[in-house]
Amino acid sequence: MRLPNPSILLRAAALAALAALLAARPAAAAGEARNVIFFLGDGMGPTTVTATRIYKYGEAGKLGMEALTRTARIRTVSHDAQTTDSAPSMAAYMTGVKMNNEVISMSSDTQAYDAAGKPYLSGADSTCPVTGNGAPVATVLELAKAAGKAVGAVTTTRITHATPAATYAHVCHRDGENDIAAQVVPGSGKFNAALGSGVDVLLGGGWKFFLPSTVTGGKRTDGQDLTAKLTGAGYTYVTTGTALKAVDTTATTKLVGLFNADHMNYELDRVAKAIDEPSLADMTEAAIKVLKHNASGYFLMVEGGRIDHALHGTNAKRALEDTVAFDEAIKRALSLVDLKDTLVVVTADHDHTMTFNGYSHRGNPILGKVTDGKATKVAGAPVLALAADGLPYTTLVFGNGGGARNSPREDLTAVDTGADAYLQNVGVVLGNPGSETHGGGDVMLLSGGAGSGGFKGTLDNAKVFGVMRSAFGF
Amino acid sequence: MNRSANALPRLLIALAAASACLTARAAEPDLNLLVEHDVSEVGADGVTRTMHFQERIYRRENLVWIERVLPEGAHRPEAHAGGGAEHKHLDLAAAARWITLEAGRVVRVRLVVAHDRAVVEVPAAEYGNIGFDGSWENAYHLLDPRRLQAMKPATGEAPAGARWYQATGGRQTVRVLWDERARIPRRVESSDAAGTSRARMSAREVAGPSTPPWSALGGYQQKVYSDYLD
Repeated sequence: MRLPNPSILLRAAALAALAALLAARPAAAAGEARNVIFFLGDGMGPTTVTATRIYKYGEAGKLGMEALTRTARIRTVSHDAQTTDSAPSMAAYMTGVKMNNEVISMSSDTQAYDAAGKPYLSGADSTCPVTGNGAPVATVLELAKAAGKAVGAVTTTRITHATPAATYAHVCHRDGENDIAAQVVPGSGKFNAALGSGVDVLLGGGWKFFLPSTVTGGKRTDGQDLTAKLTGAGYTYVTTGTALKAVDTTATTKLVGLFNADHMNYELDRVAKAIDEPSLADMTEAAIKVLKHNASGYFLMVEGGRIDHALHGTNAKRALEDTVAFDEAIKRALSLVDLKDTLVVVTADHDHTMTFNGYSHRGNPILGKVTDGKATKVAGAPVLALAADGLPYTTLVFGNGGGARNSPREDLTAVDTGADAYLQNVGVVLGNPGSETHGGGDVMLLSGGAGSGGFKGTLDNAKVFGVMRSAFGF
Repeated sequence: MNRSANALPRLLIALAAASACLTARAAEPDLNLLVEHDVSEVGADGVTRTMHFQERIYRRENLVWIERVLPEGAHRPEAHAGGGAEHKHLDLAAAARWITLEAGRVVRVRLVVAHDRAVVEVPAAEYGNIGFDGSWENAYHLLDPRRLQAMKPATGEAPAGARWYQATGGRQTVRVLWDERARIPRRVESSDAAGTSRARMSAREVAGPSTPPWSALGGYQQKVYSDYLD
């Protein structure tokens, strides 16, 4: 018996889901927004936002994102876990459906692991069962495309990483990044037909999943050069910040930029080492300028993706620098759009375990050690607060993390805790580098512009999809 | 490399800033070392916390291999297989650090995870997360020789070919027994004036491996650090 082509099944299921959603749209949709820009700070929990404000602008200062005054508190629990990972949380925003950890934009019954606990993966290739393991659910990006709008995804991670993938792909395990790449490339054999003519703008890192393993650094096992397929499909393809700046956005309607084999560099390193990668703000600007050619409007997702990675490493400085870069991208977008016809949403997919300690005096560096506010006032100079072990501690610490190196706690008296590579202390030592976990607490949502009225109170992350869909009038 | 901030006294880090230029030298001897670390601190809460661990360090021209001495049977592949080894599982204690000096004096750092049969490339921005300070000299010599320039020769019993150096900064004193032939410290001792903090590192030569571990990595997966992030 001839087996059905998996990609055909996927395509049919995605189209069916899309048709059902469009048919079920509210009779009196608001439809105030021609454009929606969804900003996602990966792991950017409330403490990270506050710390970034103080780091960049001081206690009395204001981040760019704080110009967005319609706010809500967002619950992030996933279908199967108290603490979500990025895949189901972003997918909930994009689809309105709760799903299991590791799953990208599939129905709630989709499993990322088989009965033996083994992930449906072979390297970066998905081994998700073709049938009997859930079905694709339509994303707001797909709905926007079906409505004739231009669509785009911008990130500082690999463009195939969980957050951007949740806008345009459907897969049972997020690490099947070879398949995720194929789903966004017309003519790849696994192209997601719900994307119509394709995602109009894709900017980020991760070219390794677009090139065959026969090329240095390439990871594709099917021998395809997907960058060639993209250029063949009419995309302008760039790989450096310089090249992106040279793109004539007035004459470009299809743009792909892959600026690193892997994730793009942390903002701190990009600037310090003058690496030829674009800033998130520059990518956001280029995306908006390309997408706005479409008279029907656009949907754009922008992710500050490496905030999360620096937090996993308990490296608060890099996390805050990346959050500043994310905020700069929001400011840039707000300078380019008209909120009368554009909805701007800023949120995070989950929190981390970073917390903010002590009673330091105002003006104490947020990356510094906690001061004794009262003693500082009396002395007229900073006086360090001491823990029970007689040692100072930093304002920012983590509930858990790698932290293998400081079994007896390090004396921080003479340590520059504001240094680039300084790693904050952790409470529970997990031992593995980069192993600090996500936090399960609620996150913030800030919004402004057309159709933002629905963002108020405490919302489940899956409800955010409905507000965006309503704003679009779908 | 796995110098804890305690085991490698803070004073030495400060002294490192005093010198900058690299000194071109003839090739140094290959070394096979067993390095022991002992740290003891008494907190204001009256609790004494101690730490002891050992490392095997193999030094060759432009190559340093550092592996923790682990308990027998720890980190067996089957123990890790049940813990989701396919994803986000990188045990630093069980991973050897393979540090090489590439063309143009570019430092390259890889973790070698035996239970996962994986070699993991680590970018410079993540060195802190694997306990590596980015210094080739600190990896190759265990202690950057330039730091001796800011220390004074000191008295103390020393084997032939070695001599003591000492420096005091603030409340901390550091003593280094420097082996002139191998160009490594045989001992590094630090203590604070109050007697509440003490760290000692000692290095001795041992027999080398029959097969260098870096040449026995056939079939290992090639990974990058970000593969372990979500």
